[in-house]
Amino acid sequence: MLDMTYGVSPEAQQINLARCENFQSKQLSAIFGRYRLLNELSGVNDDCSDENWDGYGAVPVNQRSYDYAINLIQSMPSEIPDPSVGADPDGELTLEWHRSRWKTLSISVSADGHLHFAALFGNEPNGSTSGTIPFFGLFPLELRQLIARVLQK
Amino acid sequence: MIDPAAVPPVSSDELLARFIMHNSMIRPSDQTARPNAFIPPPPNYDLSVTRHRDTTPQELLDIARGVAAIRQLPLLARADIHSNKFESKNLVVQPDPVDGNPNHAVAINWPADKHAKKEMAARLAAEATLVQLDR
Repeated sequence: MLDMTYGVSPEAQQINLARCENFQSKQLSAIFGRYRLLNELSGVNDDCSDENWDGYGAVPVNQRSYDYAINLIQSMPSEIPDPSVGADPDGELTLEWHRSRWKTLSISVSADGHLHFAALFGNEPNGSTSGTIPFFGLFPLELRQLIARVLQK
Repeated sequence: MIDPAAVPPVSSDELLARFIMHNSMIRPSDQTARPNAFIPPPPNYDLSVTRHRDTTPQELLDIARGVAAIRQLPLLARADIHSNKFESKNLVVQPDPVDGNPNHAVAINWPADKHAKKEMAARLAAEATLVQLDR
C-alpha cells in the first residue's frame, strides 16, 4: 500500500500537520463543548432509573440506551446546537431540538443502537415525518438535515 | 364525576386530561408538553387519561392529586386534549373506570413501531394545552 506521506515536500507536511491539529481541535472542542449536555443526560438517567418514574408504569432507562446516547452526543458535529434530553416510558433516552410547538424533532435512542425519530414541521396533515435508522458511530446525515429544517427561521 | 354505575362511551368532543408527574415531560422554555408525555408505556401500551366530563375543576384537581399521591410523585401539570385528536390518528379512547376515578379512560390501538408512536405522540403533545397544577 502506498504511504501518502512519502515523498511530499516539507511545506505539504506542514499543511497536513496543520489540518490534523485543526481536526483534533474541532473534535476536542465538540466533546468538551458537550460537557453540560452529558451532565444533563446523566441526571436524566439517574432521575429515571426507578420503575414507574412517570407514575404510569414507565420502565427504568436502559443502560445500553444511555451508552448509545453518550456516543450519539459525542458524534454530534460542533455546529449542531445542544438538544434537551429526556426519557421515554419504555426506557429509551431522548434528544429533542425544539423551535416551537409545531417545529420540533425528537430522537429516541434504543438499547440496540437504533434511533427512532419524529419531526414536526407544521400542523398540516403532512407536516410530520418519522423513521428508524441504525447508529454506527457517525451522526446520521438524515438527522442533521432534519435538525436544520426544524431550527430554520 | 361520572356515575360509576352508568359510564357513557367517550364522545368525539370530550376534553381529556393527561396528568404529568415528571418534569422531563414539560418544556420549561415555553411550557408545552413534550412527546414523551403521550407515549404509552409497555407492556400494554395503553395511554391513561381522565375525562373532564361531569367534573368540576375541584373534582378534577382532586383526582389528579389522588393519582400523584398514590404514586408518591409531584403533580406538575395536566395536558388537556380533545378525544377527536386521538380519533384522527386512528387511536381509540375507551372508558376504563377505576376505583376512585370513574372518569378514567385509556387510548388504545397504538401502532407497533416506536417511530410511529413517537410521531403520533409528538402531534398530540403539540395539540394539547398544558395547565400547571400544584406548583
